[in-house]
Amino acid sequence: MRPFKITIYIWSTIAILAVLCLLVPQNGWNIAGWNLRWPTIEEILNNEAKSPKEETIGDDSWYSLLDDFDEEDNKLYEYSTIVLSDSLATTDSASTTTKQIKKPIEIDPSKVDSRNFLASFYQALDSAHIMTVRVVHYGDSQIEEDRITSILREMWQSQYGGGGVGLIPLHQTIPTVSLRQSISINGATQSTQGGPKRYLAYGPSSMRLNSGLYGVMGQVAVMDNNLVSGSQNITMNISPFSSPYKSYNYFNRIRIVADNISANVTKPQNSTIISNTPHYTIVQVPDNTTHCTIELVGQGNVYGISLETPTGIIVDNIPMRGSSGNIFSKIEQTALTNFYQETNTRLIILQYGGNMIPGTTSQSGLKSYMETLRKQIRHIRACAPFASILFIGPSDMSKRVDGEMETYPLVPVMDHLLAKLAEQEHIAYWSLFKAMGGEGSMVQWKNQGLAGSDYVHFTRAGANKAGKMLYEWLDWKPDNGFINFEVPNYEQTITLPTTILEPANTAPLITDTIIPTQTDTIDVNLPKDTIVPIVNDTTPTEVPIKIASDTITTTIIPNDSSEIETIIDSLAIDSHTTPIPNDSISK
Amino acid sequence: MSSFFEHIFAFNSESPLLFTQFYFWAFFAMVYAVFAIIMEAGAWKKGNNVLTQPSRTRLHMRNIFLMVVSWFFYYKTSGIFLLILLFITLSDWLIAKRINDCQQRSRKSLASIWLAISIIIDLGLLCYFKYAYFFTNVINDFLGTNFQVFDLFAYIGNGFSHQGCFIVDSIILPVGISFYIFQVISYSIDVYRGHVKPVKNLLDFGFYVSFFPQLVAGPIVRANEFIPQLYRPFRLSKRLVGLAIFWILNGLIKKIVLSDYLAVNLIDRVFDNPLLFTGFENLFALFAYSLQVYADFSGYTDIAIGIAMLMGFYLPQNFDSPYKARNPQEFWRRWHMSLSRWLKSYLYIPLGGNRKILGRPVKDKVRAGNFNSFITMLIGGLWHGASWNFVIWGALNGAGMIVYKVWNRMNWHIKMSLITALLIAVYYLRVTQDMPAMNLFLIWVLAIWIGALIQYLYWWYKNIKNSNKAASLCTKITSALGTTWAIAQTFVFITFTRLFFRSGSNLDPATANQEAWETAKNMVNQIGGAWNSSIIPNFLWEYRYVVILFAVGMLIHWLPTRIKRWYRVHFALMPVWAMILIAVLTIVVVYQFITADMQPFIYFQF
Repeated sequence: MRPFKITIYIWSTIAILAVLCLLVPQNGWNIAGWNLRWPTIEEILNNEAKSPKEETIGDDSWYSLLDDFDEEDNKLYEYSTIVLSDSLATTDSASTTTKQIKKPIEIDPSKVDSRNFLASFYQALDSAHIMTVRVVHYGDSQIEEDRITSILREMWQSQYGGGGVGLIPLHQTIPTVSLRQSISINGATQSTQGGPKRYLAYGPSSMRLNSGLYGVMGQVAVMDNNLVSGSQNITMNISPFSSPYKSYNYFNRIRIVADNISANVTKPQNSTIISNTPHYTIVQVPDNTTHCTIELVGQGNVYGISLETPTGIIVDNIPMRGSSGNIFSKIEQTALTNFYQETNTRLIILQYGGNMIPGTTSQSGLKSYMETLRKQIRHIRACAPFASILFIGPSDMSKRVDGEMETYPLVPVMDHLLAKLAEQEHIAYWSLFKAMGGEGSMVQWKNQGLAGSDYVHFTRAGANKAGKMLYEWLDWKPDNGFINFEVPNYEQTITLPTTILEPANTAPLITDTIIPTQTDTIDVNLPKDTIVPIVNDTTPTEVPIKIASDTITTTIIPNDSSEIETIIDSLAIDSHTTPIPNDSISK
Repeated sequence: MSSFFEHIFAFNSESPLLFTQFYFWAFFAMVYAVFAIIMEAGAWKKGNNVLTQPSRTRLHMRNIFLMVVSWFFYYKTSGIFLLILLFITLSDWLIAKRINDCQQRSRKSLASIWLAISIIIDLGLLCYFKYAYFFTNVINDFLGTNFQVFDLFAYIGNGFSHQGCFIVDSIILPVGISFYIFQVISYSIDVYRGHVKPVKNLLDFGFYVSFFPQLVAGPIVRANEFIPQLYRPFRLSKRLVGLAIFWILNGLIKKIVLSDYLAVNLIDRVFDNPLLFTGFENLFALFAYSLQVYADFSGYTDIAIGIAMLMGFYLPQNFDSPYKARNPQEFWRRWHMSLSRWLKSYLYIPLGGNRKILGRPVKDKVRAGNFNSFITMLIGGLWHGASWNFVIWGALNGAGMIVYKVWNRMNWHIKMSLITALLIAVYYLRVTQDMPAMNLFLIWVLAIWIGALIQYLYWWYKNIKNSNKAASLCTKITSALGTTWAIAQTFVFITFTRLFFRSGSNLDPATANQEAWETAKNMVNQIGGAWNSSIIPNFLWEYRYVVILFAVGMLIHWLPTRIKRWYRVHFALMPVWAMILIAVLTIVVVYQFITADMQPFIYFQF
């Protein structure tokens, strides 16, 4: 056959295809319910030309979905403290009564850096060397396997101390890059299918629980008589996922959050139970423990096991596969409240929204999702009034349109609305979407090996990058000090002991002379929400005390005077970060 | 319109001219038009309407034209790296001449030196561009140093400066370098061995090295197979044109429908994040990858063979339904055949073949052969990519071949006791070690054990009855069963080795070693541990298109050769209009796959 003929054949094939370009309409041919796609000549010749989209998702009107919110409902107030006892002050009074008043704030919250709303967290960091500061990171599958969270944890723990990975479930069904876990019932190793019955606040409805007793992780493992009876038990093995070990692979304390379960740490051997209540058990293990075996006996619910240290930063990674974050109000409230308070939780991160992107097609659907999230934020704030809240929106996500990967039109809308919601609710917002580079960035991330082929999930490298960006964004100090926003729904009057506001006056706090090694009782006035370290004669340990009364008296049993000084120093430091009275009623 | 030409003619590292892109075919249609003009313009014999055989000048012009087009094609995919291709062409051409001169004057040692120089230059470039990161990593790991790679060429390109238009702290791998370096090495060695006469004309040699259909992904064409074609009379029967079109369409379907669709909708995401998926999903993705990698690679070479054929050149067959192989050795005779042949001629035999071990002659041919083929597989593994995973992959393949050979010679009693011992050992490890991977191995070994037991019992039964009579229906069935079992076992083994192959692919060379190992480890652990059979029906339903494509792909793969030949020949014999119609239909279908919505992300395990 002659090359000339072949040329004609090749070109006629191309010609037929070109004719098809003219025949097939822009949005394809509908043949028996099946859409036959074919490009237009324009699209071929000019690669940049895109056919106009049918969908209207992402129109301007989508961006104003939250504009009907009445700012008056949720106005920002400024903290101001007045001293009530000025005129009543007597010379022998050790403390002065003060009162907090609230005053509407004049500034426009949309112009304020939203990190100002993290003041409580930033202030708590100053005392991380004597007590734990807990960060709970909730999210969807983007943070699964301890992604993103592990970077935050590693960076913060190197800066402020602390160890352990924080909360883990009893039965690991989704592995993490930090820990390897396995459980066995009476010696028989359980597969991910086996093991105790699990209930989830998220995921398929068949895994739901009527009582709402999901606990702080939104999932509970039930040890009942179907599973264990009599002397039978569950053994849980924990070891680092891979070497070299990270800072968070070392811990010296295990907190078992479970109802009516008695826990016993069999490895490492010299571990001691230092606190045991019906709702949790805290076990002291040797410093730098990396591997442990825990035996659980009894019938009840296991909400989670936390590997931690008594000081420094503890960061929990709580992924909820497929969730949109609308489940917190379904969790029985006291479990959340107790956990946040007992563990001094100062930052709660919510990273959701991605799972709504593919399926949401109507404005009303999106609006109702936003209002559900508003409810969740308020719910969490009520459970953890001392914690700052940070919302992280979805990453860029792409879908295929005519063979090209494009950002879902809903992603920028969602990002905008979440930022707006955060502003209205006075919580911090970090736009992962913008941090990645905005529209189309997922394709770049994918090409650089930072994101997976679903154009949704990050690879390990991508998650590390996102984690570092988040850490850097959070590593922040305001130029002129924090604005003392008062969080709504949280009104209180507390008595501030003015004596400890000034470091020079810290001495009178100790009413008795301390003789080392001798057990003394001292009365100390402490600001509300302080967690008091209690020093016993073996090791310094800390028991969180919920402070209910205006002035509390706590007992410190020292065995070393220097320790007492440390404590008092730190209280003084802490008190500086609480609002200092500088205002009067007339102002 | 301008962007259309820009797409075809301007270098853009993000849009290379791939066979699967429309722009390539527009490019090819234009090239072919010029090709036809060169071959035919004014070549009519007046009167009887017969094309005269093209003169040597015409063929010469055609060769130069195609070479320039190939250079352009390479420039489109690799930009400035074209210079490497040109340099290699020039240096090997010159050195081969020297080698030949020395051979002619019986100065054998000098010839050897020239050959060594040639190979050092070639391998040096390959090592520099492909293995700099790997070797730096290896050195750093063993010596605890912290060397960084440094792009010398960028440094020179910047005028001996760290700053400039080239980036010095990373080395980019030029496209296709592994393929054309192997081609020029084969040329130098063939000249040295006297198998090929040195090419007189530099342009002809340049054409051989850079011929665009096979430039970036093979097949690896050896000089003695290709250079004689340069001035062979041009002949192209209608049947050959039909075959060429068949190969092109076949390749497009393989590449886009089977490979790309499976990769994008399941395999890539599993390999990216194996921990997000259950054991079953991981296992399925691994098997699907076996099909995908075959469809991808063989699809690409099918297209290359078809395109070359349309221009009157024959490239060697590269794949012969490799998953029909009954043992690892046969697999390597059917898989990437041009590479296997290359490795045999230029690595296995120089290593000593089945005669020498490390240069020392040995009597035990089997031992020497095994040793050298293992080394060959190791190095062949590393050729595929620069990370330990590829070395492991090569080692596994080498080990597989040796195990098969040894196994085959064994007495059935020994076979059975060995496999039983292995089963017990794996069971013991499974019980004593807390390693999820052991579950996987236990099931695998158990399956092999059951298969071996049945074969063993059958062998015994046959011995007792001593029925070596004419082939009855029964023996036909048993031999078919035996073959099926052998094919299945080989397929599973090859698929297992793919775990390391795929984990090491598509990675940033700077972190490839660590990442590849992690992926492989996570996958094995998921398959062995995080198994959740209750999700299997859900998975099969939600991923039904992927599952169906995989099943259909495997079935077509396993079709008997005669059926494949039958439809291939019948396609080639069809009238041209029918072929054009089928081509149009194929392209439309393929386009539906290119633009199909991606499989949404589905969660099964909570």
